[in-house]
Amino acid sequence: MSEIQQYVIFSLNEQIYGIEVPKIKEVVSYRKITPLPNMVGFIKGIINLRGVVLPVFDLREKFNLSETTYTPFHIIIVMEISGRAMGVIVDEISDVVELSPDEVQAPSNLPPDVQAEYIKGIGKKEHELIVLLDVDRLLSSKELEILDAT
Amino acid sequence: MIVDDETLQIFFSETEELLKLAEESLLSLESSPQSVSDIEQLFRSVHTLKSGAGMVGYNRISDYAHLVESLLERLRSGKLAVTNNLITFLLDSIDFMRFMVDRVSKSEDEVDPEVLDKRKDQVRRYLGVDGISSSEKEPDPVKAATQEPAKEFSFYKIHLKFRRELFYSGQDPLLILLSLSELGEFVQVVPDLSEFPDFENFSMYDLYISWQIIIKTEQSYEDIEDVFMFVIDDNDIWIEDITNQYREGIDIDLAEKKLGQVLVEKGKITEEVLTDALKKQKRLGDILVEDGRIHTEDLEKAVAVQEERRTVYRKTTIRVDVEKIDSLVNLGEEMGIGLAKVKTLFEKYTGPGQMEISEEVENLFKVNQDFQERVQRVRMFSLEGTFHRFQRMARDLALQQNKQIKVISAGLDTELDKEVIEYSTDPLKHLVRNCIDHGIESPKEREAKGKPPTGIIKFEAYQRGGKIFIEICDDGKGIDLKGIHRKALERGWIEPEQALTEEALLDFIFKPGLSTSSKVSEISGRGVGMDVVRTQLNQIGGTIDIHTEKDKGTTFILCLPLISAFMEALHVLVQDTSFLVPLQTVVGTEKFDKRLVKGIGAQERLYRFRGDYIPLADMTKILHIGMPPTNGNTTAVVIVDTGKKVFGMPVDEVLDPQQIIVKTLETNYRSVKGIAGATILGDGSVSLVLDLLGVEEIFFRNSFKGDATHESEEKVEQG
Repeated sequence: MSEIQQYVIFSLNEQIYGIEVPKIKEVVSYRKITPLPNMVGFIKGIINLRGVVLPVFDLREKFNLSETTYTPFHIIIVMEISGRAMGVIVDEISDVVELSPDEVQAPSNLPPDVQAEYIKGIGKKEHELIVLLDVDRLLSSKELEILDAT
Repeated sequence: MIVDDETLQIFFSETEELLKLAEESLLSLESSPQSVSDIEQLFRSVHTLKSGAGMVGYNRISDYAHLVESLLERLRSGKLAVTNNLITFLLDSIDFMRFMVDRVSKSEDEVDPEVLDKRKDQVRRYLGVDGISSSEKEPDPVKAATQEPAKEFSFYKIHLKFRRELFYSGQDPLLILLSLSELGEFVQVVPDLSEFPDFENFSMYDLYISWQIIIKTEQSYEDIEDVFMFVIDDNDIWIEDITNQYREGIDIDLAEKKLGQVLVEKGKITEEVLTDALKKQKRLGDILVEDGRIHTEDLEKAVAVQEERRTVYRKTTIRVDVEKIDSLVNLGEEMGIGLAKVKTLFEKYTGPGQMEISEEVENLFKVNQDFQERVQRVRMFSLEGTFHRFQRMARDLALQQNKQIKVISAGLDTELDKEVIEYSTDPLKHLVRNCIDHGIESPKEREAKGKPPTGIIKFEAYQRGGKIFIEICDDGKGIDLKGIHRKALERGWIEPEQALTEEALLDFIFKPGLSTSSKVSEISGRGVGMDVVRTQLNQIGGTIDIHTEKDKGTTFILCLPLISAFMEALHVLVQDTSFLVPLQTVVGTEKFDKRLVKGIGAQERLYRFRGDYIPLADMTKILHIGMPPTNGNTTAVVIVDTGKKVFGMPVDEVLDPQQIIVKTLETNYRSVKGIAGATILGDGSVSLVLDLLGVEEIFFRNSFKGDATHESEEKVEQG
């Protein structure tokens, strides 16, 4: 992170998260998710995106945030995670911001309950705190295996 | 020989004191060679040590001490002059005895017989060749490991008998001797005056004296010969290498004899001359009286004071187990608390004698305070002993590095808790070494800078505001800030364009792995040390500051607590429960600003402090002592830095910092993670002292979850 990076900012349970722009393929509005049989926790089901079937998962569940009922106002971000396309449900997308290296704090001093392995850093923009996610580590190898099996 | 433990214990503690005493008197003897009292004290110490060692069966120690004693005996009777060499040698002997005592205290053999024999020979050599000589020293076995390999010295015996008409050829023996003296150290010079004619026959243009010189030098035979280049051919001069003889071939018989006897035997003087001369020897006091410098009366007074002082000194030292004193401290405190309670009770009392009672209680209160203070004073010692060690060290190091150093001191009667002294001795020692190794320049360098050749190290102690300050100050070259900057860059601690204050630069000194001295000396300069100094001081709640100015010198200021058990702590309230947070870990306190709190993850919070986000550790969650979760009464955040992590603790109220005495829970309970102990507040209530390292561990490892379930299960079972 030696130069200025652009991040897509979205919110989950009123907390603000950021993902590097190049990782994001597209942003689509919420659509009906078809549940799959025998699904594991965070995988919500599959959606149809212009004829392509994509698995969709919920970060709320992954981050132990309180559950919510999905409304048409929810957003699905389609991103590349460890080489495959996945949909991620978020509350809303608010902005795209640029962060310079000194606006990013290393994730070395975080409270214990936070799963720091997904966190690339803490963005500091004005008075906001942005949790910068490390997209490629969002899914553990075990979870990827499960995905491959489906 | 089997000696019971107690006797041995007495021997060890006594010996330690005696050696210290001996060392002190040697050092003061060096500055005032005429001091009879110092010689006496020195002699007495070594003598007592000898008998003590003999009594518990450490014969080697007592043998050696015996030899040293005979040497001192000669010093005492004035047959041996006090020279720097002699002092150095005696200091070394004291070290050697200490070394032997150390060994036996670890149940090891006193010393190898071979080493001891070599040592003994050295003493005998002193006894033999007398005060003007300086025998070459065997490196101290303890020091040998750290010292540079000893330089190879040779000893040459030079016989000089010039032609009587030497002056006519334009030669001068004085000049020759002077140039010879530049090559090494004269161990012995024996002029032969036997050719001196009677006065009538004396010609002032003739040379009658011949010499026999023993010189200790690193130079070769040829170098010595070169000195006599112009005179060696037509004068009676011969040079003999006696290195081997000098090391081993000493006539031991001769060594045990007194100078007078040796001289008589050598035919230099007759028996009568010797007796006459001995009679002429006088004590300093007598000489002064005779010279009319002092009245007999005054002299007697001074001697009386001296005697009294010595007795007092012996009377005042008693040895008490620290635990006994600690229990006194405890009891005094308990009494204070009891009194406080009585006082509150009587405030409501309105019956007869109310005035008298409250007055009496008030009085007892004051007495108790005084009592508590005095008991704590028992644990305190003056810094004098510590300082003497530095004086000694400075002297040795200065000699080693060919520097001229004077140590001056002030405020040595400042008293410190024994534990604080023990913990701060090593850091102080390191600082003094630093001053000598890196601070004070060599005499030449100093002169070039227009400073006096002798560097000054000042050691000053004083008390201010419930803290003890110790300053170590040198007038050397100062700390090379540019050098530090460069090193910090090299090590990647800072960016090239980064602007740094002097303070920030100096702070790097305390980082492991920084040494600004390009030359690594044996003692300091390996770049470890200053970080250790700071850590060690922090352990007892002390801090260190540095002031430095180029070519003016450096001052280290240590700030130490009066008593190590005393701890400065921030008194905070969380849900009406009071906690004490050790002040040395507190970075700051801030008014709690809700807007700076950001949630992260399911239930964690971050707080923005000085531009960074730090985790908030909720006391109610970490120490679950049945407190309801934080209820929004948070008014302040205490930010702590444990050295590993920085985090904030939301609290309801911050009260005044307090000086507290921490009582461990282990004594009657068990240790509790996150709690360093308890303390009793002025009103008699108990408050918990947080152990922030423990808190950090609980918080960051989240181990409390497991404990919590476990404990709640227990409760269920009991219910």
